[in-house]
Amino acid sequence: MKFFVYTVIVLFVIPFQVTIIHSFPIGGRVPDVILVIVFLTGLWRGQIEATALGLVLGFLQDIFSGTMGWVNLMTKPLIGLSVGIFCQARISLTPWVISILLMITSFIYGLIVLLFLLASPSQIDFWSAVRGVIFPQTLYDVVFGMIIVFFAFKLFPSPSHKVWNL
Amino acid sequence: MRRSRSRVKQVWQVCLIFLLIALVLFPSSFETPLRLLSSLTVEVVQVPLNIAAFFNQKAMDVWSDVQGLIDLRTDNQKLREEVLRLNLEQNLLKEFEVAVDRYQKLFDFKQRCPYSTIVSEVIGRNPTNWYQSLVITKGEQDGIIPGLGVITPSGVVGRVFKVYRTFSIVQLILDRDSVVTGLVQRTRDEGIIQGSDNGEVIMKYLPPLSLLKTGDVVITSGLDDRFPKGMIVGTVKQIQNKEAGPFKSATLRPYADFSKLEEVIVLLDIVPSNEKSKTCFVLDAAVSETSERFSR
Repeated sequence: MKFFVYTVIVLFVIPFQVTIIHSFPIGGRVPDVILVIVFLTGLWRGQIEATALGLVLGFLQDIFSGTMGWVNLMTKPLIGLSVGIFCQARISLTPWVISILLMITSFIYGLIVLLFLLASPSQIDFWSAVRGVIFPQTLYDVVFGMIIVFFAFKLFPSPSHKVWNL
Repeated sequence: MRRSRSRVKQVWQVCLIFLLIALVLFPSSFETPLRLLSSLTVEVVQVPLNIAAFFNQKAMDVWSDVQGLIDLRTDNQKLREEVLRLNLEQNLLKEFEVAVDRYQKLFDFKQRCPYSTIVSEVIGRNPTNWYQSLVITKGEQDGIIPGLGVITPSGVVGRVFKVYRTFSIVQLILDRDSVVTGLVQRTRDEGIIQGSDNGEVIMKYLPPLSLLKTGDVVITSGLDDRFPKGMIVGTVKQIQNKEAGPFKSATLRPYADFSKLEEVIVLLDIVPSNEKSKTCFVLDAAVSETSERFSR
């Protein structure tokens, strides 16, 4: 059953990221749905499942992306692993905490990709990339992530999720 | 008292029986009084009958109205469905018309184009914000290889970057890592056309004494091994005179609308296959724009 659910997620998320999400750009930028999904999987299902999902989704994201490198294949499982391990600590996962965690995760992910690009022959300017890509994407990721969290807990309310206060 | 009443009753009964027998035996003799009686009775009965008929008619009208309303609701529902269906059909037809128009343009372009090309649909865009690319439906099995030029009848789009069996990734000229050699059509100044981080197309390394001005048409120079000479790229939007640098650069406004790409043409081979004009790529709009400028 779990395998089936993850297969459905993968089959849904990749076309969504490649096609549908481009209909809702803000300032020409779109959220990284895959990052948000891997982050939330790490939060809710632990590091093992999030890492595995990050591997698959990162790999597929790199296949469809206009780069020769495998930066998403490397970073997305790392995100799943880090978030999963971090959330083992007993912290109260309020919406604020989740949004701040997601913001930090997205920002660090952006910086890693930028460093990767700076190391490659790509002609990229650090500050314009931070201003033009990393900041807007971080904010958009947080908004998108919180929308998913909101609907997830509206759809699947559970006593264990009282701390969310949604 | 009781006895006298029963006697009266009996007398009445006997009278009635005799009357019935008389009616049966001599009906003709009763005809006149019966007629009189019936006309009187009709006059009397007519009033409640009319009243009843009036109410009956009203009730029938109301019922008919109710029936009509019920029918009206059904008809309304049917008509709404019909309107929806027709709207949908109309939208489909409009979309079909637009698609036919697009395909016609592609077909005309392909007819005029002397090079070997293949038309492909755009099915997706880059899944991250770091690159500017498209996903197209043609791949290795259709003869696509990395580096091939990708265009639309409006102008240059980019080049094939990654190829899989059934689809390919096209790097747009908006991408900072994209490089195409260009030429300012009027002044014949050559330069390098590159994308930038903010999604603009910039023509770099133009001669410092270049006389280019805003609105000049930029075409491919043909030095690139994947784009033949003369393909429209865009017009000069802004000129940057870098005083410290040895070269001029210009921001271009590409002809191709990258946000609305639905089909693209991949140039499989840029060696002309027939005697058709090599200048097939020059858009009508660009031609008219340039001639207009010259006439001024």
